[in-house]
Formats: sequence, structure tokens, C-alpha cells
Amino acid sequence: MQVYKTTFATSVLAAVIGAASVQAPSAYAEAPVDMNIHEINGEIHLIVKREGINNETHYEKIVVPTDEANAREAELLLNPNVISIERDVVSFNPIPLTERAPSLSQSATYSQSTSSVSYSDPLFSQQNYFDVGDSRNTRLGEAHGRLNFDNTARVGVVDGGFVQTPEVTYAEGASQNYGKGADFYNSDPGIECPNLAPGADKSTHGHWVSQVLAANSDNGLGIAGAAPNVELVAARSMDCMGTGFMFENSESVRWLAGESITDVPDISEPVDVINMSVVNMADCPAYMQDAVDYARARGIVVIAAAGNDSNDSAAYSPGNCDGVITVAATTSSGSVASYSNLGGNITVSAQGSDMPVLDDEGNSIVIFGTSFSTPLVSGVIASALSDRPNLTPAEIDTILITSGKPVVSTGTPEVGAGILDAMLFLDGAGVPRESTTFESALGGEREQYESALVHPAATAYLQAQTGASGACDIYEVDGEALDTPTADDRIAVFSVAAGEPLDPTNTTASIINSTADIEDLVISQADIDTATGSNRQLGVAHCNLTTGANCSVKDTVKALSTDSVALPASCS
Amino acid sequence: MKYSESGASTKTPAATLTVSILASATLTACGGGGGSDSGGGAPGVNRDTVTINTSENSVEVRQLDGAIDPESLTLVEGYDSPDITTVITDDTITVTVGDLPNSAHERFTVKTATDTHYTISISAENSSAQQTIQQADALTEIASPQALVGDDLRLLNTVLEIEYLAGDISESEKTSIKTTTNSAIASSSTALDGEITLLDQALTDYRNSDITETDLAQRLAASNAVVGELGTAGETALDIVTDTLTAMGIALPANLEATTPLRYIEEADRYSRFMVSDYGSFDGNGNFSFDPSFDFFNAVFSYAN
Repeated sequence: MQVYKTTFATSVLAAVIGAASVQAPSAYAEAPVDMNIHEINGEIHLIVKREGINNETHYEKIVVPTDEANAREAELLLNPNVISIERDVVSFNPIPLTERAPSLSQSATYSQSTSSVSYSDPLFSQQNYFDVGDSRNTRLGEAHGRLNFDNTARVGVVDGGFVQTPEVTYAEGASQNYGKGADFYNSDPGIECPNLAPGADKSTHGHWVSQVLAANSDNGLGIAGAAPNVELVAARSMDCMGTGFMFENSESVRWLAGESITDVPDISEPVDVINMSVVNMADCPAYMQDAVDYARARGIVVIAAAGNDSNDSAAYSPGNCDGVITVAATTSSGSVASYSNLGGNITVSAQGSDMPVLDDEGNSIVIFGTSFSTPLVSGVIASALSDRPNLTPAEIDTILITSGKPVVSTGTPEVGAGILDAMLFLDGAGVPRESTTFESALGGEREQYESALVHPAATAYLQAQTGASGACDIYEVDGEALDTPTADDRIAVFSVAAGEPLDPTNTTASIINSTADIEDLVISQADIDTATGSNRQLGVAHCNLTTGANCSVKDTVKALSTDSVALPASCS
Repeated sequence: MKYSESGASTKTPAATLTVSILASATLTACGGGGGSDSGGGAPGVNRDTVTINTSENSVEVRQLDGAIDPESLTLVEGYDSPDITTVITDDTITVTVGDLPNSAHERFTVKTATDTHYTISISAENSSAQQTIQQADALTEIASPQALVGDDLRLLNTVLEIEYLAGDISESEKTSIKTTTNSAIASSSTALDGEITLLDQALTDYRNSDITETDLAQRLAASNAVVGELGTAGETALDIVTDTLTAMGIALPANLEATTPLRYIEEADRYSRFMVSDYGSFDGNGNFSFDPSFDFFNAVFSYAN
């Protein structure tokens, strides 16, 4: 296995891009550097925001020689439909400058879920973020065990360097630059690599990001993706060396959100999640902020890397844009990755170091960076969306606040909520940790009355009273979960709309039956049919059904499985 | 059957004998009432036993293997009944049982001309007391007095389960009703419990011939008098589910205990208020079935078809 500890400093990047006459600062190595590059090949990219006749706004890019930029800006601003002009900035795939061994280690365990998922992929054992019970990692194996993956979430990857291999499957894709159009794989004929030196390898950054996010699982290759049931959409806006322009990145966001972009085929369907493992050391450009707002307004979650400069993450876009979930990186043992940018705008952290993937030739490699902690977070969110597709970006923001675990540190690093624990995230998303089942009401202690309970006289009475067709269609549910319930706690069988958090206080919740006593609850097949026929989820709760106190999918709220129930012979 | 010589008495208390010897008469009879068997003992001596099980106001005749020596008759002490008369004529024994106040037993030995030593064992049942004894047995053999209202409780619990499944009552309400009912029935069974103890002793006394059939019948009547208290408690329990039974199309009498009291059912040898013609009937095999209007009970009670 090869270990990629790329030590590109900004100067190196600048030198590479310098082949195209990029004027870049010449800072080196680990000191924070100004990556706010505006002038490329003696030209400035002016991003002009205009207002249309129906008050709609749109952006256009005007490329002008550097020495004419000021004059052209002034001229454009005289036009009454020009709202603002910004100079575009170069964006980079954040490459780790250094990777240091963690200075601290600490072991602790979280309670282990009874069901967890493991995959047969050859590198799965190295995917520490799947480890069960890990107190310093994401516990994806347990989280996957809680999910049904009923819905297919769509995830857009704003990046470059996409590789066509059996390990990653893209539903669709397009390029916003460097061969604008339908092609997006490195191998596609329409791809342009204007700055790539002859014979140099093309970046495969997007390939790595996509693997972490959604590598095909159990296929005998590489790793298991963080989200096993997603449709990946490649939004290529980085060149063959991992650089690009923030404007094209924002256009990728808009395209993924369903907006038509000139010379690019429309996306078939907007995505649910956008992953941007790209950075630029700049304030959030207005066009990027607008693109993020555009996406969020359509219910799309935008996740961005914090950057790998050991710097203040607030100085880096698009992670510093409002409404973006910004991700820092930790090691597999929960220490803050030494390269990771940190700051007040960090939403959450996740493992970004020692991430196993396959290179473009199928060899296993280990990669580092916030570029890879970001798709891990995107994968967790996409997985949750498969069971809770109605989660809004605002709700996800709120859930993330309480979904982190402390990093291993002697100080108080700004790592947002901490290390993302997928189990805690699913708690917040209302995905139950446990499920329970019905039992036939004719079983157990009632077995001795079976003949009488299925007698026509009893059947007619039960039909009249309950609407059930008889005792054979009546079930019991044991909902007791609290050892010391309060006077306000009740046990309830309830349903909520599909995709909604399994919460008896949810706005879509309907209480089917409840009791203040510690006892079994009766539910009829008609209740089940009504709920399932309406595409609703069934649950059992033991908590305060009015205020929601004590209600938690961790323990007091369980899914109610509608799997078939064994019935006595008299029911057949 | 073999005779055990060690249990025999050699005494002949002639003054207490009620055996008449008619040496001149010859009765011939055969079959019935016992068996014969040659037993062990001293070499050259044949031993046999004749067992006669009969009832009051009857005559039984047995022929032995030779003329009976009247002088050999020896009564077994403690097995002499004044209500049993035995006549020996040549090789024949004639047993006459009169009116019995209790069961009667008699046992004696004789020797025949063929040198066979016979033990004659006579048991005579007081047949007029059989019904009383059977009913007393049924009452004393129950596990507890509450078991007498088993039918009422079975019906109550069944309907409570239906009400629970129908959502009429909660599980805790169901449990509460059961607890309250069981407590009330236990309370109502206190008197019967004492009566059963007395009846049990009376049965023992009767079987030991210490009391008469009349005494036993009086004791049983006293027990049955308090069974009614338990029946009333059962009625009260069933009142709880009367409305549901009515809704199910099953109409119990308004005054259940007065109309169909909890009582002994001879055909079933058990206590019940339901195994009566108001609700159904017995077939020729002794199986009870409820009428169509009470068909639900056929599913409730395991004894019903």
C-alpha cells in the first residue's frame, strides 16, 4: 500500500499553476498563506451579478485583461441591471500540508448497539469509522444497522478527477469548466486539462472523495461507502490538477440544485446533499453564498471541507459561507488532525486521516485531509436522509449540534460539535435504535381462551367494537421502556408520516392507542393496515406524549415492525 | 385370591354367630360373586377363598367343593354384621343381606368334606347411600371451595378478555376485576370450607360404620346449604359482564342463582349451574352440549362439545 502524504504547499500549487502564469504568493510550507488568487494568465474573471426584467438575478463571468479590470468594473457598474461585481478566486482541493502523529490517545467505549453492519470489502477492516462502540469515531457500522435505506438519496460531488471504475458508480455528471458539458470522467474525450504538464498524472481527488462517500459495498473491491444507497452525481469544476475557480464551483452547486447552466445538460433531478471538498482562502464570495442559499432553499444540504492549512477555518470559503456545514478532520483515534483548519465556523469533525481508498489503477492507498472527513459527514447525512428524506437543512444543522463527541485534546480546539457520531445523528433524526414486534392477542396467557375468542359471537362483538375482523386480527405490543415513569408518561402505539422522525409529538403523529398503565397495548390489523397503507411508520413510545419529555429513539421510542406475526391454527 | 393364614382367627365365638346351619337341606347354586383359588400353606391342605360383593336386600348363593362341616365354621373377629345372614346346607352357602344403615362386612372360614379350608368374605354395600356418597366425594375432593364456581369464573375471565381486546377495559382494569372477584369468592367460601371439613370427617365415619347413611345425608345437606353462598358470589361476578354477554346475544337469567343455582350435577359428577336443561343437554354418552342460543358456551367450557 502506498501512503499519500502530499506535502504540497501553496507555493508548489502556485508553481504548478504558474505554468499558466498564475501570480501567487510565495509563502511556504506550514505557515498560513494567502491563497486569494484573482489574476490568472494576466486576466481577471469578473463575476457580474445582474437583475433581470422580472427582478430575477443571475451571474455571468466576464474575462478581462488585468490592466483593464478596474475600468471594466466601473463601466459595468454604470449599467442599472448590474447589482455587483466580484473578482473570481482560484479554488483548490485541500491537500494536507503535513500529517503528524497524534500526540494523545485515549480509549473509551460507548454502549454497543445490538445490530451493526459490516462489509466484505477488502479494506473494510481499515475503515475505523465503521468500528462498533468506538468513542472517538463515527460508528457507521452501528448506524447502518439502524437504517432501512428505503429511499435513495442523491449526492452531488463538486470536485474534479473523477475516475470510471467498478468501485464508484455515478448516476450522472457534467463539467462546468475545462471541457464544459456532459463529460466529467478523467477519461472522457471532452475533458480538457489546459495546465497539466505533458505526461503528468491527472488528479483523482474526486475519485477519492466519492469512494469515501459512496464506494460500492460488498463488491470485492476497496472500501465500503459511508452511504450505501445513494446516487452519486459528479459536478466537475476542478481541473486535472485539482484547481479551479470558485465561480464554477458555485455554478456546480446551482446545477446540482436543479438550475440550468448554459452549455451544460440539465441534471435529471436535483440532489439532496452537496459535498464540496474544495477551498479558497477568501471571504465567502457573494455568488457562492447565493448558490448555497439557492440550494438550501430547495432543501439541499451543503457540506464543505475546512481546509488543510492548520489555519483559521473562518478564512476559507466555501466553508465560511452561511448555511454550509463545515467539516474539520480528526485522526482515527480521535485526535485533531494536525493539518486541519479549525475555527468558530466548524460545524463538526470526522476522521480525515488514514482513510483507505483505491487509486485509479485499483491499488490501495491511504489518504489524509478534510477533503475526506467531509464526504464521511456527507455520507452520514445521506444515509440518514434515506430513512428520513424530509429532514430539512435547518433540522440537520440542529441535529449536528448534539451529534458530536469530544476529540482527544488537552485544550479546547474549535472542532464544532466534535467528532460526528452517526448513532447520535440518527437519534436526532428520529431513527429508532430498536424495534419491537406485535404478538397475536390469542397467544400467551390468552391461549386458554382461544376457542371462545374466535367464536362467531366474540368475533361479531369485536367487529362492532373495534372494526377488526376478529381476535385473529388483534395484536398486543409491549411498550414499557421506562423503569421509573412519571405521572405524565404514557405508553402509546402511534404512527407518523414516512420519512418523519419517529416521534409521538411529531406534527404528523397520530396516537393509535395509549395507556397510563404499565401494560401491553392492543392494536388491530386495521390500525396497521391504515398506517402502512398510508405509508406511515408505526412506533411504540413510553414517554410524555404531550411535551415530548423522555421521548427518545435511543430507548423509549421504538419502531414497530410490521413483519408477519405467528398466528394460532384457529386463525388459518 | 389367596388366603393368608396369618390373618385368620381360630376362635369360634358361637354366641355371636348369625350363621344358621341347616344340615338336612341341600341347596344348589352356581356362579357369581367371587372366585376360588388354591393357595399355599401346609402340604396336603387345600385352601380357597370365596368373595361375595353384594348390596342390601339381596341373596347370594355359593356352592363349595364338598359338604361343609358345620363344626368347622369359625368367624373372623371384627367381621360380623347383624344385617347379614348366612345359611349352610350341605355344600352350599346362602347369604341374605337385609336393610343396611351402612356398608356391611362379614368374614368366616369353613372346611369341606374334601378337606378344603374356605375363607368366605362378604361385602354388602348400602346402595341407597351411593348417591349421597358420590356427591359428598365430589364436594370433598375439590382442590378448594372456590373451584365450585369454576364455570362462573371461566365465563367471567373469557368475557373480560373479549372486553379487553375490544378496548372496553384496560389490562389493569381487567386485572382489578379479577382480583376483586377472586377476593369476594374466597370470602364467600369460608363457611363452605368449614362444612367440607365436617363432611370429609362424616364420610370417614360413615365408611367406618360410625355414623349412618342418614347422618351422612344430613351433613351433606348442610354443606349444600352454604354452596348457595358461593353461587351468589359467582352470580355477582357474572353480573359484571352481563351487558357484554347480552351484546353478544347471550342472555343469562336476571336472577341467575335463583334460576339456575350452583348445584351438584350427578351425570357429570361435578358442581355447575350451566350443565342443566336451561342451557343444554346430555347425550347418551354423558357428554353435555349447550343449546344453539348458548353455543358460545361450547367454546368457553372445555367439558362441552
